[in-house]
Amino acid sequence: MTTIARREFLKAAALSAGAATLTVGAVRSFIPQARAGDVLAPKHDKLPVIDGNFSSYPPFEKWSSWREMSGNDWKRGGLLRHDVRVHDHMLVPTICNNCEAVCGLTAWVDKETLTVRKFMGNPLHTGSQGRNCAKGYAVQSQMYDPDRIPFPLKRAPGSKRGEGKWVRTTWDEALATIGGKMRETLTKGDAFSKKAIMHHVGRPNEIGFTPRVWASLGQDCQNSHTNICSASGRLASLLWVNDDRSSPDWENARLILLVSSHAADAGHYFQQSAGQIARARKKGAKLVVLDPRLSNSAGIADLWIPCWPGSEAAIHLAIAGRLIREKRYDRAFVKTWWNWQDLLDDKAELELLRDRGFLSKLPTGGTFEDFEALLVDLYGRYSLEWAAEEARVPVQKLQKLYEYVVYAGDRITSFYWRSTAAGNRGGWMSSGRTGILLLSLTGNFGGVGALGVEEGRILPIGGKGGAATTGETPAKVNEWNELSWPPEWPLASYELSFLLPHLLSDEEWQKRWRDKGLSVPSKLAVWIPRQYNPVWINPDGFRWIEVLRDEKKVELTFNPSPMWSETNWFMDYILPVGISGERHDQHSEPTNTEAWTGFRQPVLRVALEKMGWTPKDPARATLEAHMKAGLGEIWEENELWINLLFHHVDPDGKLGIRQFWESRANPGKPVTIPEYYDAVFGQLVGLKKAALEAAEKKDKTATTPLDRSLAAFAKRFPCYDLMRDRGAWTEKVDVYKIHEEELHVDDAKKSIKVKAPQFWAAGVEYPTASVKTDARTRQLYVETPEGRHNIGVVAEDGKWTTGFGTPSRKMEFYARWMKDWGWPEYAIPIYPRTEEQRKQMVHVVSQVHHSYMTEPNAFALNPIFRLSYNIHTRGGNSKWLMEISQNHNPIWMATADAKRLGFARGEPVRVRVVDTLSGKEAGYFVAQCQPTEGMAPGVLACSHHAGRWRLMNDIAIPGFEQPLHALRLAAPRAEMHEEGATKHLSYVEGIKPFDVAKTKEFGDRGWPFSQMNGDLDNITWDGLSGVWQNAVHHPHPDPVSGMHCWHQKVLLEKAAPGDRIGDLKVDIGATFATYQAWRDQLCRPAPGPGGLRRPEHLKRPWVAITREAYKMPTKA
Amino acid sequence: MDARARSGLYAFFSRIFVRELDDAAVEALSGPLGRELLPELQGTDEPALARDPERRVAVLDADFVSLTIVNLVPYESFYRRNDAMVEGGVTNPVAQFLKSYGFETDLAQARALASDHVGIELETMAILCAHEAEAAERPDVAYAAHIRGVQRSFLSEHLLAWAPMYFFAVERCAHTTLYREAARVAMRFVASDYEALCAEVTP
Repeated sequence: MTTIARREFLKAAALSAGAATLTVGAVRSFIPQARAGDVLAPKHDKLPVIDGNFSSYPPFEKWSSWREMSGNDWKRGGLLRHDVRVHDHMLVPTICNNCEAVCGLTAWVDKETLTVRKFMGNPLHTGSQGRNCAKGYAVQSQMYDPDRIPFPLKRAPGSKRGEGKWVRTTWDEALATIGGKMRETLTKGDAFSKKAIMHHVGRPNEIGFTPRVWASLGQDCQNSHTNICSASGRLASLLWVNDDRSSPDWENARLILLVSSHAADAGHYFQQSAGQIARARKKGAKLVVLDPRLSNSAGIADLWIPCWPGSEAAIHLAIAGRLIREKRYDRAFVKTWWNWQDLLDDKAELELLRDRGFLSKLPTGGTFEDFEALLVDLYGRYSLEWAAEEARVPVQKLQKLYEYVVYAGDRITSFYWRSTAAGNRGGWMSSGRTGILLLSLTGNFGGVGALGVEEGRILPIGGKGGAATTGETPAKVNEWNELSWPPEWPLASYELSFLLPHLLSDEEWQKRWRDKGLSVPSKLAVWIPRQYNPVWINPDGFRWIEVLRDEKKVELTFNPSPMWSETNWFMDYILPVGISGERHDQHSEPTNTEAWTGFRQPVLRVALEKMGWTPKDPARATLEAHMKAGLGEIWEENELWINLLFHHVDPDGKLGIRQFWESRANPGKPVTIPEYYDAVFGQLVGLKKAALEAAEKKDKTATTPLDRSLAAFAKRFPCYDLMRDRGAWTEKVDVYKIHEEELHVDDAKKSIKVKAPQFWAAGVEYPTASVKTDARTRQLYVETPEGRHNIGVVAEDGKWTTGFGTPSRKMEFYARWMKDWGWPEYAIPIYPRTEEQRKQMVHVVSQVHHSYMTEPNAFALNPIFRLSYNIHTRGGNSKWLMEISQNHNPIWMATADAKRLGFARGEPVRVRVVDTLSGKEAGYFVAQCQPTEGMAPGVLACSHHAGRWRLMNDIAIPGFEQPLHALRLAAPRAEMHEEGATKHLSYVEGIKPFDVAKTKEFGDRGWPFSQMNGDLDNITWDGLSGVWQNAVHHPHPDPVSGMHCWHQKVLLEKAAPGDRIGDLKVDIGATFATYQAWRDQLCRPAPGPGGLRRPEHLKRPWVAITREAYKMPTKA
Repeated sequence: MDARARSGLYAFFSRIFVRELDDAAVEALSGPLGRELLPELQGTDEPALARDPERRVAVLDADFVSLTIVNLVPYESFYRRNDAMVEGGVTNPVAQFLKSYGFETDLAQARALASDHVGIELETMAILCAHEAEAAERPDVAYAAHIRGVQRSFLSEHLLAWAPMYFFAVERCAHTTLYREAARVAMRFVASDYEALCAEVTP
């Protein structure tokens, strides 16, 4: 019954036209009137939108002024509120620097105080789609860390490295001294001088700028951290498709086969991958996790297979074997895309496989059917029962996995990056070499829901700013640095960087190769780590300390570093540079099936410039902006290198370096950031088009003088301006099956342009008429004076496709070049089945294989699982991350093992580290025991991402008003004792609460940011449950990939009287003997075919090397 | 009554209760719509008083502050939570309702503590009605019907669950005809609109 007559409002209704405008506009649709990026970006249906309209972020056009209350203002709310405080923010996009996923961020810069109030996601970044993990949001706490370094520091005159005595210096003095030393070195011009200035990168997070620096210096000295990270994982991909890294299409998969917790809860790209995996699961995908540890991922998986470390190869091959036996594989894919003909044609290789017991007979013909018969013979004998025994898991688990594989069909993906690849000898085999066999056998390569390659999904353009400088591209370097690419590891996928101190110490090794005619350096003139803390994170850290202390081996050291680290104690200069929102970097990663790039920016500089500020020196704008904003004398590496090289290393241009950093627009001046990055981003066709449109629009809509000035800037630097505004750009979407792309035939010129067979060479062009087709293999090839050059593959429909990046242009099931380089028994995916085979094939058997666990207290230690809230060294300068991680790394062990050995929860345990090849014992560390049902018996887990230390509380700086402090949030104070080669470290004082006092020099809001850090009187963690285990780790260089194989064999014992958690003792003579044993007993050194140091088709980062340098000198 | 007209009426009442009058609002009170909806007001000196900024502040704005800040609490959570606290964060049920339909509130614009302020809830109805009108004009009859269902839910789950108490309190406490009459008429309008929606919308 209607009780109120609505008709009484009818007349009013008729009069209500226009009344809607009376509202104050408190309720708004999230729909921006002109939606962010609609005009500019390719249409993208994965942004955080609902029904194609709504976004959870402020509309893009309001990023220059977005008003809202802060959390603190809300806390004062309710009836006790006196007023409503509204902050006017500028949202400046940047990208995170805390891991390699480089998710989008927006810095919410308070325009009144010039402080960043928070970091949130960037919805325009299609990789991260507006989301971040804890590490992304923690950037603000890193920015305002009270222990960050506020000005350049120099080792106090008269003190030794490691004494901890520092004086304040200026940027100009530091650049002049360092530049002078570099110039002096380069002026010599001999072979050694081209191997003398070593740059050693921990977290690169940029893609091209720094290699350009080293190329312009003419140094083969760009070193990465990859050999303690992903070198073995990459080798697997290089072997199969000559691509650096795999790129899964998680979102469209039906089976997600995770080898460890990587991807879903802690590892590379995890924040972005986890979202994609969650969406796939919502659509019905199954999640399977192979990991001895019940990680977060394993805990929510459909199937957890707690396999023994390194046994993944057995599982991959057993599943593949059953698929082959039951003929449930993708015949068409295998027939077209594997290079099976190469194996059938190599009788010697087949005989070797037969003689080693992997084949019962030799194939009789050369057809695909013959190859299929060979597959049955080769892999059919890898049974699930055998694999279950090898992996020490119930066979039912493998049967279930098989069912999932069959269910998922052509939608299976995985990711081979760290985990088994990083932990085990032969990790490249146990991960991707056998894993990609399983995937490609089922047709799961390159397509939707499958594993793909990075090519096409990554935009490596950061080094391509040559259009902005007077010299465009530096010449190739005509030297080969044996310290980064030692002859023992000709197939290493990346530099042997973790062995740098060993190689510098090993005079016998140096002499051995010098006697053979090589110019092996015995020292470095300058060593520069970059976001790298090898003393702490590398195995055998005391060896690093020994070498860094030696001023004859390393003459000058400087660290561009935002924060203190264990390595910084041994530097001559510490130069404070910025973190995520304080530096310029172009970066791109294949985190999904698109090609996107992000742009890291100094957000305070951008905010200031958009508000009309201009620097005194345009080439030092970031430093000036940070000083103006009270952040401290914080610079960035781009401008640092440009200024160092231009003004100090090559001030007169005589060394030929200056031209690569001299502005083309303003000759005689260093190139500026807008000039350089406008050229960089101008490389992308789609971006450039959108940038020109955006600049035009700015020009047309400018009303105020500031608007007009910004529009003029945009017209001058459209591509840079677009990225300054957006922080991210997606150039391509749906990048699949790039091996099926057509070759580019120029009909007018009657020629075809293809990739050269050598990694170091540019593309080559052949007359179309010279292209021949191999009727049996469908390969397209050209006969050249150097032999047959395969250039593509004829597809089923007759199209000329590019194929893969391998020498055969096929997926290389059989990598003949491995055989050519002395590894014939590993040229196909393979794993020993018998004890006899295991002894013959030790190179692909984990150093912690269970057969080595001969003592009752012997265990395989897994130290490399990541924690989603910790980031190697960079976690230590975030109070928020430290609060949730507490620098706590107990040693997790199976409940049954703890009971058997009588260890109780929380009890200190001595962990003795022994090597299964050299037989040497490195020493021990004392860790806190944590029994759990979440560990496979016989395996231990203790993450090496915690266990920091500092040697002193206060670092007095003469003349400065208060001492600096190192790592007060992350590191207990430790004492170091050394007796010759025997080193000890023990914690003497835990982390404590403290007050932060402001300084006169930097003011109320400036360093050390007392207004932001009032809560540090309430620290609740002491850090005394962690341990620096890396120091006691043997270095284990994989004989093929060069990767440090992280897992260690350990013997557990009750703690001795007086032992405290965190104590450690190591004999660096024993660890040195282990490095030598792995090198000399396992490696097969260069030269290879043609007297080369390395196969020419294989990637060799970072600077381009001449063909001449590939040739290994020999003494006549 | 068409959706566009209903949107206008909700907007009119929202404006009165969301914050103090400004010149545009004063114009509306004296215009045809104001005269139709608030006849009693027209017989007082308040329309003239409202045109004088000083007297407006002294009389009408003072009453507004009394009715929305000092003596009464115009927030849904105050009436519906057991602890009678205003729920200011993102967990505010109205904020969540709005977010789920793609809306956000600019609390600074409304000068409100939370999204469940009576003025914001009335404005929400104005927006929903406007969206319905747009859908009907496209025409997208099904989507327009869907939005009417959303309106009905919002009225039953939010506005009508507490606003009557608030409006009755305003009627009792108001010192000015404007707010006393506006509260009474707003109440009648909202109730009648809900009745009409219930009659039209099939659950």
